[in-house]
Amino acid sequence: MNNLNANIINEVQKLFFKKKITVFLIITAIICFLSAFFISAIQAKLVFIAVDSVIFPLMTLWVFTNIFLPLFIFMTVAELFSGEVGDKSLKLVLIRPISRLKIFISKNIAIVIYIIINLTVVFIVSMLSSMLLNGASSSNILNIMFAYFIDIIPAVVLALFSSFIAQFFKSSSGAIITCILSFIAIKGVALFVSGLNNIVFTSYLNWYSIWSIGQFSFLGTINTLFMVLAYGVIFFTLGYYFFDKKEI
Amino acid sequence: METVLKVDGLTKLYNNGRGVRDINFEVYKGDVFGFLGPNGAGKTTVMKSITGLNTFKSGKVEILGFDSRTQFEKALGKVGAIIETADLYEYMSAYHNLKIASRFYKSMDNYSIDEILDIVELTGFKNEKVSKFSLGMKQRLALALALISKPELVILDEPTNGLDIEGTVAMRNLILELASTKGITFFISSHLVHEIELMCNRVAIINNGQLINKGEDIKIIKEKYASLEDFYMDQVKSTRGGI
Repeated sequence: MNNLNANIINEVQKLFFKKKITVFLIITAIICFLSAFFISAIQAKLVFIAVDSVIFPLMTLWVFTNIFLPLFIFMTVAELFSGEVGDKSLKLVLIRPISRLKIFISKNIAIVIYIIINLTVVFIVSMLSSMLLNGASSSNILNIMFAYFIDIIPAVVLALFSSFIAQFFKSSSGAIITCILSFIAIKGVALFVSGLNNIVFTSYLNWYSIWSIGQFSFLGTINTLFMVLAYGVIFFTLGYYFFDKKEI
Repeated sequence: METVLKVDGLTKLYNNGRGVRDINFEVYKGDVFGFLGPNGAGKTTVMKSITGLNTFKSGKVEILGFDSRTQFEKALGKVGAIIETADLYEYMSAYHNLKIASRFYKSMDNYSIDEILDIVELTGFKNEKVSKFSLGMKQRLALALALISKPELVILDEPTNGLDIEGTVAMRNLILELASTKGITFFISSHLVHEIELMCNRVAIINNGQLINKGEDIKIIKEKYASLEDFYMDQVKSTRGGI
């Protein structure tokens, strides 16, 4: 257990030592603020566009979880897996007294921590900029927090999916491109094949927006939760299988 | 004699049919054990199999009495290694490279890191990024990383590879000093007979994926042969049927 904790700290530290990871966070914050600024500016001119301080953070969440977060996840996963195989630094942890299962778990936990940090930054910036620019305080902050919180689950499954894909590559660029193309392909196929949209994990990246449409069904939500978790278990198992077999 | 490393019937074959077959040898406490063979003989394959970087088809590896497959964490608990090349986190400082490795060992603190940096003579470069280091400095930092576990066994794959004369001498002296002052057992591979002769007390020879001998005492070899090179040539020729 101690070694697992040690490697989680190591993996998170390694991530934040890479400047691009911090730069992505800053870019995220800037995009959020500029979006709020832009919406606020056109709202004053076009009266039919009404975005209040409650909608804006949720709208940002939709854009972020469907476009930017998947990109950041692919890049982070590629850095921690394929990138380390490419620059041979993966060896540095493999020759330490820690099992491959613990290494695989700790790398994925580091990615989950990165996802949580990302969503927290988006939440804080979108809330603050929305309050500042719209001049209204949000009374529905718990509801928005909950929306951000539950969107962590599908993002983690996407991270496990990309961890699995990354096992086949020895360079981060190859892994990123394949993850992006696979993601677009899954989304595209789900769009055109009827019924598929409900059973692919990529459809639930902004899970909260699906909850808020139509009537809330407890059983339906539990069903979806287990389906998404099942995807997570499958990708984790496949990813670990190939990571364990990897010869450096 | 206490056995630190025991390799028993190790066989590792790659898809292309190459690899190593039925490797058996033992390294005893206090040995500076040389693993001599030409390039492509299988030295790195054996070392990777010992440290868990490779899986192997059959055989058994015991480190300090622990099976490397079933008790991996215990087996690697007091082992340091440099395999193939001195790979480091280039975007970090020497200190952070050591700090990251030190988290796996309870007894390590900042004082111990400073002590190890002092041993490898990198104290003045503690906070410098590794990407700016020369090859010799990287090799010394890699050795520092191998020492961070306060190891009983250090496995070094061609430790002087790519180093200039001065760097080679410095690395060799460092290994000998650590062996004599700290009682660390070394398992060192090299394709250079001279290197092994100067550093090691025992030697095993590998050629074409097969072990020619299991670890002869170099002093005894020198009583029979003019040099280790002569012994090596004799051993290799005998496996080729005297051709």
